[in-house]
Amino acid sequence: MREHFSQELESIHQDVLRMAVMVEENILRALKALKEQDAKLAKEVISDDVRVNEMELKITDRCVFFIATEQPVASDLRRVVACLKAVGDIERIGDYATHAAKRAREFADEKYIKLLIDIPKMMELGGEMLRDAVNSLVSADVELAKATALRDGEMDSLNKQIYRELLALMLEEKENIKQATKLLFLSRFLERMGDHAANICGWTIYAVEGTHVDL
Amino acid sequence: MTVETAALDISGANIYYGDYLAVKDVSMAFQPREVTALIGPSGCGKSTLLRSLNRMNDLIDGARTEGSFLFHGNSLYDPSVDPVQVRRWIGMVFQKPNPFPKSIFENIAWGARINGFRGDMEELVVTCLQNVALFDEVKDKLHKPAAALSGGQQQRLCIARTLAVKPEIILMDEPTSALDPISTAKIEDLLDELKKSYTIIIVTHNMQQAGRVSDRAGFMLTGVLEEYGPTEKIFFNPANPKTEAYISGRFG
Repeated sequence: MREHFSQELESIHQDVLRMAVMVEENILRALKALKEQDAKLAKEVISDDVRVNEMELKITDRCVFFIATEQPVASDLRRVVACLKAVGDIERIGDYATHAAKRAREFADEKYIKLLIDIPKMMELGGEMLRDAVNSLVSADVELAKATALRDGEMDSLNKQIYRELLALMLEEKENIKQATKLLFLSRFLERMGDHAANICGWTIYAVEGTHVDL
Repeated sequence: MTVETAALDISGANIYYGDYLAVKDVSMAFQPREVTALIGPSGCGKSTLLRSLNRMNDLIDGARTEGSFLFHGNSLYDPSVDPVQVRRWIGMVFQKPNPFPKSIFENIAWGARINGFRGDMEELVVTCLQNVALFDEVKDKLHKPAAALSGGQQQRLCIARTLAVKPEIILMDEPTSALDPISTAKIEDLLDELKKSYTIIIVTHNMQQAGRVSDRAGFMLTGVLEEYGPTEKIFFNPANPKTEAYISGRFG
């Protein structure tokens, strides 16, 4: 019964998944632009953020229309609300990918003060956490959600590691301060990706169990 | 839940129509000055259960009720209890508005008069009409036939008529299913007001209505009370998968 209802709910989830794939690609393209100092690719990533923002609004409208016309209750309602909340988090992760792309555009003509090792790790981890978090939401997988949220600890460790390293470089050479500061901000933004991915994991648990947990 | 705090406390209720067991071993306590909604698919026994609460089933041939039905600690089915008195304590409003073929005034006055009311009848009629937010709409035509009112107004008149005999509990069997959305909204607003003074038990097929108006909800299926609890819990995170399947429209 209520086939249209179930199809529509499923279709909203597929849109959330598509949005997450879009953002994950932007993260990886921003990473490539950083590593290869490719200003053109960085610009593309920056301009593609508009599509992510549009997608967020489109999914929000779909969820609101679904609530208004189908009056979901219980776990159906929680799943729609979880999508509504999760797209906000995905959009913010998209903003951080854009931020990385902006730095890549600036760094295109500069010599890096250090080899980029942990920043790429953070971006890859951010992409993986986003993918797993959204997969957990779409497939209502609480175990995956919990496991994914735990990985935020790795993100925090990388952020601290980068901070220590950059601090040493700044103390060593004043000339390093300008780029190091930008890299510090970037690291901080990338660390926020993990927090937003963990939020999405929290919405998965809310959708499945109806409880708010601090992950 | 204790007998002392509940407005009505039933336990082990079995209701038969001949050999057919329509309500099976239902136990529930109805809290005072709350709206309790009974929900479930057609034929699940919710109206049968509702009617048993003021002994309306006594009027149906072959209907038989077992179990304990306590009202202030006294059994409603005790042989010494007059069923007519039970229906004064526990009034009922039906699906289709059924005003008497009399004036608006008489619809309210009549029940009170035959129940021995000796006070100011005009004051009683006005108060009851005010309590159902109908007075302003009918004050110039109190002695006109009730049948001339709209369906929604007739239903509010029937509620006013129930109030006139000063019940403690009001049972409502799908009171808005024959009404348009505006009349429905007026009745729902009225329930919010009435529950300040009365205990209300309502059977409804409208899930959104149950969610909006009730404090507690009981879900029934094939005569069994599957789940009973705070409405917020029933509609947001029900414990029983059958409840969830029903309220989300997946069966029934």
